[in-house]
Amino acid sequence: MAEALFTNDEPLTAKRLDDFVIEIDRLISPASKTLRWGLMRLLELLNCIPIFVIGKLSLYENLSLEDRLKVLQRLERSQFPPFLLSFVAYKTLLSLVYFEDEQELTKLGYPGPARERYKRSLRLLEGTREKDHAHEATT
Amino acid sequence: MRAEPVTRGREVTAPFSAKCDVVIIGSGAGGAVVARELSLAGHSVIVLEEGGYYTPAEYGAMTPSNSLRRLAREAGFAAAVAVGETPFISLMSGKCVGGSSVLTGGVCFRIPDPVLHEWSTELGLTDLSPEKLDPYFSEVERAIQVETVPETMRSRSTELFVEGADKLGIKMKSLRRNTHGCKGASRCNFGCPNGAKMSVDISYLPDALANGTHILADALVQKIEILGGRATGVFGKFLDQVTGEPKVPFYVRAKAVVVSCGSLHTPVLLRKSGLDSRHIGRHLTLHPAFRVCGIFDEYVGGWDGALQSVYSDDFQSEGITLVSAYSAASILAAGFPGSGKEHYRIAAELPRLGVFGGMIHDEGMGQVRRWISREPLISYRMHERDAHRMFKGIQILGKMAFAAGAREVLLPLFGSEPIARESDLDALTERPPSVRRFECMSFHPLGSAKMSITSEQGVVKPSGETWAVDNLFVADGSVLPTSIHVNSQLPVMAMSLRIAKQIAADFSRISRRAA
Repeated sequence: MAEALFTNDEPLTAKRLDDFVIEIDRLISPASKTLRWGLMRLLELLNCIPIFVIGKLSLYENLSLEDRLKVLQRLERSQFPPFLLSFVAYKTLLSLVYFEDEQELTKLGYPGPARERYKRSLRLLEGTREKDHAHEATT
Repeated sequence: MRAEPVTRGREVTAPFSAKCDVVIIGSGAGGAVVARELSLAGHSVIVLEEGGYYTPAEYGAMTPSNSLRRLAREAGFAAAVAVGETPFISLMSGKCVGGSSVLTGGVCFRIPDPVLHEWSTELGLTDLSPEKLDPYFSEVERAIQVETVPETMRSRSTELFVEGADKLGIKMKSLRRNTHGCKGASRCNFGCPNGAKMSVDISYLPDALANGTHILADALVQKIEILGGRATGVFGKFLDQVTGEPKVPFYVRAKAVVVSCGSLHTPVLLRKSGLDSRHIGRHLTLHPAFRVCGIFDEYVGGWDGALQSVYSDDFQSEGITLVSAYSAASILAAGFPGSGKEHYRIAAELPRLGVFGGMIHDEGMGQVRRWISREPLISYRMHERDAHRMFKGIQILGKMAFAAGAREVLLPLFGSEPIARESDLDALTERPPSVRRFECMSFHPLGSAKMSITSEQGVVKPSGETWAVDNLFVADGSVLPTSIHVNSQLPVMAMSLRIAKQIAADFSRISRRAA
């Protein structure tokens, strides 16, 4: 699913996908047993879904990349709540981890933790202080 | 905060028992205020917190996903089960020392006067008038350093939010937040990386610790001990370091027990402990929140500036509040529509993205129930009127985005394409899509153990003590009797302070009953 969701111009490497699975597992490990159970059932549902949404008698994991993408696109528009929920839950979970990767964020144009705007407040404060000092000096 | 008095329950290997004047369950906005107040009044206090303990330096260095994993309930993936025509609503609440206050945007509002007038007149809660609550709000505001966000701290995303509002004649006002030295990292929801948000682990708990309060983290309270109609202590277990499951037992005997587990867990603990009022767990309000994103031609870089800095109450009479908002890049990207290249195309617009937020004042159609899990089963039915409010709010935000110059607008509607014409927004009211397709979040669950003037109408008395059990108090958002229109952190703290002062004033009677 991650491969279908995030393949852009370059294919995702097997290592990246393996690391990804470990990260996802780590993220949801502190959740309750019931939530993890629910996520597992949604994953099983997703795996059996192709026959209902693209008419192919195959497990999701055995589909070609193109068909996997087609399934996801249909699920996103599905009117049937469990189908939509399975898509939303996994897309959110996977995207959260995928787009946290520093290289990925840099590619998107995110500059990292450096911030500039608060310095405007500091400059204003400095300016006010200088004015106060000047006022004190003249009086 | 000094680390020594905070015991990490995961490291405790032998059964633990203790005796104190007051045991408080939960260390968030409610519990921390009560702990400080009662310890300053000279009482011995123990705080039991299910979540872990992390210093501001530790959580400030976490990535958003790591922060969700360690500081939030259900690793940030809690949600309400939608009943009927109701959207999927994700619920964010804290599970750490400091509770949800560590994960809020820091926005501070007093409860609006019309809401308090309703409480003090229609509901008969005469002590909850604006005048009578004013001293509590003022005291908390001083303690958590509430300040108005200066215009210079507005992000470009917020400036566009304001420009769009100006063009439509909507008035924007500066928000107040509990910050000191904010550097505009725009990631308050994952724990401030600069220790600038005055969450209760920074503003309240250090005083409580200095006055002898003992805080035990990783301590899951499983039951309140009730003997002869009064609360006498709590039973629970420390969580295992590896599995996170309950392991080493503890017992704390106390003259008074204060439940401050938040609106999602307080009802569960009360029920587990044998209280059976039909109001426990009912009347849950969520303040469903939504966001509309605009893609602009210019560089926006909305991550640079205060996460939230302006709001509009122009539509408050219609139950809609507009609020500037932003989030971590990864969270925003997770919400973009499409898969594969289409998703990536929109994600690549992140630097040109403006985020406009809103929330509605809902009617309280939620319920919290105990079930097979440690976490509660939360169900929510959205009132038809609230659904209309949401449609309208989204439409207003979309129009503001176009007015501000957005070339594409992303609606919080699963499966919808970005829209490029303002006229497409009219379809929201002319041919409303199914409410189930809306993407909603909730940060302010309230009202599941509400305060009332008779035992038939609610769970706790105006003093915060439960109607059913003596010396058992509730001090958190669950006691608020209705939805409040605004962010709940300051209201929860002010109400908890009021309850704490009443406990302190009445402690000799509480002690006599406990004897």
